[in-house]
Parts: sequence; structure tokens; C-alpha cells
Amino acid sequence: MSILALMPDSYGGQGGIAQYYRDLFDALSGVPYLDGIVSLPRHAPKDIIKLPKRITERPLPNSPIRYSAAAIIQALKQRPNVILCGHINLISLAATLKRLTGARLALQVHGVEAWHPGGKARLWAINQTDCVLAVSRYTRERVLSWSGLKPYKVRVIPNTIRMGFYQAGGKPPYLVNRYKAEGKRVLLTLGRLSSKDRYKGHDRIIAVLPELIKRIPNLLYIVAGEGDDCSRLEKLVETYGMQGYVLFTGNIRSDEKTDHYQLADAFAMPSTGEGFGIAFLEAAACGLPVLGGSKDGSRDALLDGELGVMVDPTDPKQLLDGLQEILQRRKQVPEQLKSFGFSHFREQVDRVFSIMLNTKPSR
Amino acid sequence: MFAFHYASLAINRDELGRTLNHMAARGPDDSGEWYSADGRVALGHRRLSIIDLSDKGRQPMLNADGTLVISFNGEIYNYQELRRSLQESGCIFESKTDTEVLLHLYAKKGEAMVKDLRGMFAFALWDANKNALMLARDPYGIKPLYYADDGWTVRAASQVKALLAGGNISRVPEPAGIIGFFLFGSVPEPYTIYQEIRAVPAGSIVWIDALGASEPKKYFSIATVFQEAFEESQQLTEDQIQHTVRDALFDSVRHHLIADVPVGAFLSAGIDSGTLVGLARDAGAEDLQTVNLTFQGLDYDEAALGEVVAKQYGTKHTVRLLGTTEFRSELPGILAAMDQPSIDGINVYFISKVAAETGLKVALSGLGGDELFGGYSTFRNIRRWVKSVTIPGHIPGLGRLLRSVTSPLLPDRVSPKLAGMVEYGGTYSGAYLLQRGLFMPWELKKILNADLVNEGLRRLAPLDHISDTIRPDPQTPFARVATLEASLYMRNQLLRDADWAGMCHSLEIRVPLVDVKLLKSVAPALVTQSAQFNGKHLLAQAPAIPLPQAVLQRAKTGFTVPIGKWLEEVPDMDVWRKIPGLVRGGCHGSRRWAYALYTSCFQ
Repeated sequence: MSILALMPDSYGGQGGIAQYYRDLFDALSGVPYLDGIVSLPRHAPKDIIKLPKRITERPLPNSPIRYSAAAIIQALKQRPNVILCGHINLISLAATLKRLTGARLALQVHGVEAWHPGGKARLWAINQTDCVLAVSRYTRERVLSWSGLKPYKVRVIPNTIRMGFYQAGGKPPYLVNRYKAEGKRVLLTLGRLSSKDRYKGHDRIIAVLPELIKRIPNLLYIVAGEGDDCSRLEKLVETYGMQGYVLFTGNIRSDEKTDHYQLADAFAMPSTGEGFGIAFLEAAACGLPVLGGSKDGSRDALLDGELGVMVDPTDPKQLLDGLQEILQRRKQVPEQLKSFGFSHFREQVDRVFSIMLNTKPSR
Repeated sequence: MFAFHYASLAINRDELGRTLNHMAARGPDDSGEWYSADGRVALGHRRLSIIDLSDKGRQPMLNADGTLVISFNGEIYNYQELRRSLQESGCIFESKTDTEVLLHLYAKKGEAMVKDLRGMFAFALWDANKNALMLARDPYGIKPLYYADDGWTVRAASQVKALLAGGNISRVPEPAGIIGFFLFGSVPEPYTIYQEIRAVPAGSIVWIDALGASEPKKYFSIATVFQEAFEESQQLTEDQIQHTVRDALFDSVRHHLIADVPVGAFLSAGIDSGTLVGLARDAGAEDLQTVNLTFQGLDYDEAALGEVVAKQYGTKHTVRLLGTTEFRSELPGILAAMDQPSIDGINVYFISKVAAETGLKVALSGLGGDELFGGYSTFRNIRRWVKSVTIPGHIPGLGRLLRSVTSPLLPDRVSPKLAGMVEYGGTYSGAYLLQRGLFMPWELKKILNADLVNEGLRRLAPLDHISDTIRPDPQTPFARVATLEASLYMRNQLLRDADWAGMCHSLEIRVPLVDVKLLKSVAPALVTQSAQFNGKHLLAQAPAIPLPQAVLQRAKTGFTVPIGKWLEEVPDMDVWRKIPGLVRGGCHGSRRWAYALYTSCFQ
């Protein structure tokens, strides 16, 4: 099997979606029927990272027209068995490549970008797919509802978490000092503060803080991450008079990410727009009790409430009670996290691709 | 239920309980549940005991080593033959049920076993060695089977509403199912009115493994039977045809009488039901209990003729008079029992109620006779239209233009379908839509949201949906219409109605005229008949004592309740009065009824 992959990001990219592709490529590099993957990332890598065997990455020009032209040339030269489209925005190009080469077409869909119809070209293109990999049940449902695809073409392969990088541990003294967190109950939200991503629910937490500190007076809410929504949130904190209880950290370096989880006592992201919410798994892997919403892909990461507390994010009462509950729970890495282990992920990837190629899975 | 995905939680037992409870009336005699050791697979069953009434017939049923488990709905009419041949090859049986035959047959033949089955069935079979669940449905789609795959867990049941009762299934509407309902008057499979819930298509198998529900595999199509019959067909004399039909009918009726409880019959003044009663008597069914309805406010009364037939064959006959008052008092029950919206079925609801009141658990119905023997006027009309409109219909844009110009000009009392004659009438699929359509595609935006209509039409692609059923080509006009009627109107409307409307009174309706063996026997004799042919007289002549002449001479009326008249008198369902297109004088009652039903589904 030879794969041509149109990717939004490079193998070494930042963020949850890039992590998904790293895991996907790692899983594919292990299947015996793979001859090779040529990946064409839409954005050139910042750092050079060693790629798994049989995987090549060819950074292409940034301009959409030149990218498309180069992708067509590569497809005609390579004659792949499978076109793997890593982002819904590239699906029209990917479907065109399918028509040119006769290859199978697989699309991976993550979150909110794939939840809405996007015009006739996209509708045509998604109906050319042989298989869609959705990160969660919710994303699958949303894609089915605008595309009208046959349900058996859309499979769920959730994010995976590889234990080791994230682990439980004591509060790192340097962060306790940095944030003056001695003796505090620390509630953490980690994620981009993008004005487009307002769905993550920082503002909903801030709105219930005045009540929450009555129940947990030594509370410190750490908002980790950077983005253009920061100033709005800071104003909101002032509006509620919560300046002494909320701390904005700005960007977190990747080598300090685990430490931040370890500093916290609980993790909350009452989102309404998560494709999945890998942060829930990272936090849980560090032993944090977690809270998320019931209206989006978070449900999957929270295992319907088995892995963490699941609330209606738009209901302040539920949110308040839920936050109190996770802040009072003991830290512990949940047994259920194994559900998202890499071996499960790899087997599922193997099954999906072998069905697409009409061959038997390798295990 | 099968929690197939590695991240999915084990089955919630309360959810299975809620789903089963919803179907209590379908199986009032017993209830059973089975869970796999890891709790990821669960089968449940509600039993209406008909064959082997002992506890040995309890379901879900396991094979000897527990690697196969089945939950089965329906009847296998050739189970005794299958049982004997399985016993000869060494199988040991614990019970006298048809259910156990399915387990042994699967162990022997795998999924190919479905081809050996004669009857109506829907089952879920767990194969522990394959770690997979097989859903299978009978060739004609007599028994319903729905499933919902949310990406982690598959849930399947005989009813859409039972799945919803479980509480974990999305209610996002399916535009294709909704638009299909307004076009045809019933929801066309595989769609339901909900996106997540699909029907296992008639004559198909759906496997569920670690990836979820796979593409349905078709193992039977009526079109193929006619095509093969055409290749084998010979010129037969009238006598030979009569002989073939009689033998095949008798064989089917005889098989459909197999039961350990009394089997009764619906008996109207029509040819189909009368023939079945006559043949049942030939097959030795004595003291048959028969039932009929008559309606207040109808000009014609067919009950008297039904009584003549009953007298001729010596049945115990019960006739019930039905009017608006009873309709109104039963309306909540009807709406609750109606699994998917359907403009018909009230007749079956009431006649089943009467049958159940006489103590029957099983009744024969003449459903299917018109589809197989050319009883409908569609057999004549469709052929005629296709012939005369083919040429203008192929002029690009002409049909559409004519329709848009004439449609607004048509007076109220003229059918709005007339405007679409050139646009649709030139092909079998288009002409069929004109004949059977409730609303025409161009009318839908007057009553429904335009986005819903556009999306529904895109997904359903009604003309493709219709023409898919006559692929491969059944070869002759007669066979094409027979195939269309059996694969669309009968499957989605009549059979669905017979299921919910009978089972809600714990009554199993058996349909001897909807039988693959019968079809295969008579297809070679029927396929070459002209489109003018009406074979209903072959039915009437089949019993040893043929049906009275009066039955043959009676004009075809159909067996319908005067819903339009009733609706005007029942204020509970008057939401249609808000839609201008439905209020005008010439509007057909079933259009108003359809709109009222749709609204009640999404309230």
C-alpha cells in the first residue's frame, strides 16, 4: 500500500490535531502491507523531527495554487493506492486526485471545522470518500448530518494517549513559586484562547467563580495558553471581581506542559465545540480529576462520564457542583484511560485501512 | 446491543430493559435477556409463543457450547423440513422450535443459511468465535429490523420507537426519510425519519464487528427472480397456469398454517382473503375463526359479501362496525403504536384488534395478492403512460416547462399530478411515482421547509430510489410493475403497517401471498403475461370450492378507512388546517393525515 497524504501540518507540528497525525503515521508505519507514505504538509515544519520508517515528508510551497499543482504532479508520479486527506479544507483537492489516479480516498475529520456544510464543492468531494475517520461520535454525527454519507463509511478512531510522557507527580516547586500557588487548590484549563474558540468555556468557569470560592476559598484558577481572546477574559475576571483568584500564564512551553498538569488539583474545560478534547486525557494521565461538557466530542474523551465528570456546560448550577466535585476528589490516574491506549488505536487503524484495501488486518 | 468499539462502555442493562419494555405488546408471553461475559454484547427478547409453547422455546437461545446466541422474531415455515435434514446430518435438538433450527443451520452454513429459510424473520445472531453480530431480515421484508450505529455501539430492534425508548439514540431528523414519507405515504427503507436509525434492507444481512455496522449485503431481489423466470419461461396453456398457481398457493397456505395455537384469518369481500380461507379449509383447517370490519359513513358495504364467503367455507365469522367515535378514542393508541409515520394501517389496527378480541394470536392476511397477480390498476396505467409519453418525455426541459406552466393553472378538483405527466410519465420510475405518490416533488415546498425538501430530495434521489428496485431488469412490463409494487408500496407501506398494527394487539399477521417459494413457482407463468393481464381469477379458482362469482364481479374497492371524512370530524389532529395547500376543497384526506402525523412525530 502506497499512501499520498495531504496534511494540514507537518509530523512535528504543535497541537492536538498534529498529535493525531503523528499517532496515525506511527500506527501506519507498523502495518506490514505499507510500502510507504509520502506526506505533503500544508505548512512547512518548524523543527526537523525524525520521521518513522517508510514515511517521507515533502514540504511544498505555501500558495494554494502551487500546492495543488505540486500535489497533482506527485499523485500522477506516485500512483498511490490511498489518498489520505488530513483536513476537510483539502478534500476538494484530494477528491480530484482520487479521480485522476483511481486511488481510494480516506478523510480524517477532527472538530468544529467539519461540523458544517461548506458549499457544493465540499459536498461533492466528501461524497467521493471511501472512508471517513472521525475523532468522536459527535463529529461523526455532525458529518453524517450535512453530508448524507452512508453511515458505514464513517468510522470513529479517537485520539490516543501514550503513557510515559504524561504522568502523575508532586507539584513542581518552581511552578508553585512562579504562580505563588502554595496552599492553593489549583483548577486548570489548558488550551488556546482564540476568539474563534470561545466554545472552550473559560468564560463559563469565570462566571461561576464567585460562588465557587465560597465553597473553596483557597482556589486558584490557572488559565494556561495564549491567544487573542485573552484580553476579553481578563476583563471578564475584573467584571466579576475575581482578580485575586485567576491567573493567566500565556503560552506554555511543551517541556513545561506536564509540570503544569502536575501543579493542578483538577482540570476543567466545559466546552461546547470540542472534536474530542485530548487535554482531558493528558490531564487524566497526570492524575487530575477532570470535568467537561456533554454536548460535543468531550463526551468521548470523558467516556460518557466514567473518566471524568460530565455536565451540561450551559447549565451554571451543574457546572458549579461539578467543579466543586473535581476539586474535592483525590488525584489518581483512572484505570479507564487504558481505553485510549496506543495499541487499541493501532489495531483500529489497521482494520480500517485493510478493509479499504480489501485485505486482512495484520493482527 | 453490541458495544463494538474499544472505547465504548459495557452495555447498560437499564437501557436494554427500556427497549424491551417498549415491545411488551409484541411479546406478552415471556421476556429474556442475555449478556456476554465481558458485558459488551447483550441480546433481549419478548416472546409471543406460537411454536413449542414450552420453556424450551425461551429466547435469547444459545447453542450447546454457548458460542452462538440468537434473538429471533418471526416464523420459519419450513423449519420441520430443515430440522429433519439437520438431524440426519447429526444435529441434536433440545426443543421443537424453529429458533433452534436457525442456530444449527448457522453453525453448518454460516450466513448462507438465510437462503434456506422460508418465512418471515428478523434476527440478531451473536457469533462469539467471529466476535461479530449478524443481523438478518427476510427476503420480502415482512418483519422489520432497525439498527443504530453511533460509532461506538450498535443497537438493533424490531421497532424504531423501541430504540428511541432506550434513551441513548440521537433524534436528529433524516431528511431522506421525511421527504420519502411525503412522497410515498410511508417511510422508504433503508431510511427512517431519524438519521441514526436505519432499516436492515429486506433480503439483506448486516454484520457488526470491531469497526461497527458494515455495508448491508443483499442476498435476494425480486427483480432477479423475474429475470431468471423470464429466461426459463415457456408458453403454458391457461389450464397449466391455473394448475401451477393452485399448487403453489396451496403449498404456501399449508405452510403458513403451521402453529401450536389456532390460526385465524382476515376475511373481507375481496378475492385474496377469500382464496386463502378456501385453501386453508382445503388444507384441513376446520372451524377457522375469521374477522372483518365495516365502516360507518361509507357508501359501499362489503361486509355482507364477506359473510357469504364465510358461510361457503364454514368459518366462525365476526364482523365489527366502526365509526368516528371509536376512531377518536383509539387515536392515542394508534399514534403510539405506529412505529414510523404511515398514511395507512388504521384498517389493520382495527381488524387486528377485533381478531385479538376473539382470542386469536395468529391471522392470515391476503396482503400481496394484487402485487403478485396484477390486481392493481398500476399494472395497466404505468405501461400505458410509459408508452405514450416516452418521446415527449425525452425532449430536454419540455416536461419541466409544461409542469411549471400548467401546475398553477389546474383547478382544485383536478389531481396536481397531471402537471407532471410529461416530466415523469415516460419512465417506469417516474410513472410509478405519479401513480403511487402522495405529494409530488414540486409540491413539497408548499408545506415543508425548503432546505429540508432540497436536502431530502438530494439524499433520497426518488427516481433512482425507485429504479434501483428494478435492477436487474425484470424484462417485461408486467414483471416490472409487480417488482416495483412489491419492493416499494408493499414493503414500505403494507407490510410495515401489518407489523405495527397487528403486533400492538399481540397478533401475528401471516401473509401466504408474500412468499419466495410461491413467487419462484408462479413467476415463470406470470412474467410473460401482457400488462393487461389480471390474474386474480387464478386465485379465485384455486380453492377446491372456488370463490362465489359475486366476489369476482365486485368492483375493486380496497380495504381502507374513510380517514378524510373522519379527520374533518376529529379536532385532535387538525394542524393541517394551518397549511393553505391542505385546506382547499379538493385536497385528499390522506395528504392532511400525512401532515398531521408528521407534526405529531416531531412535537
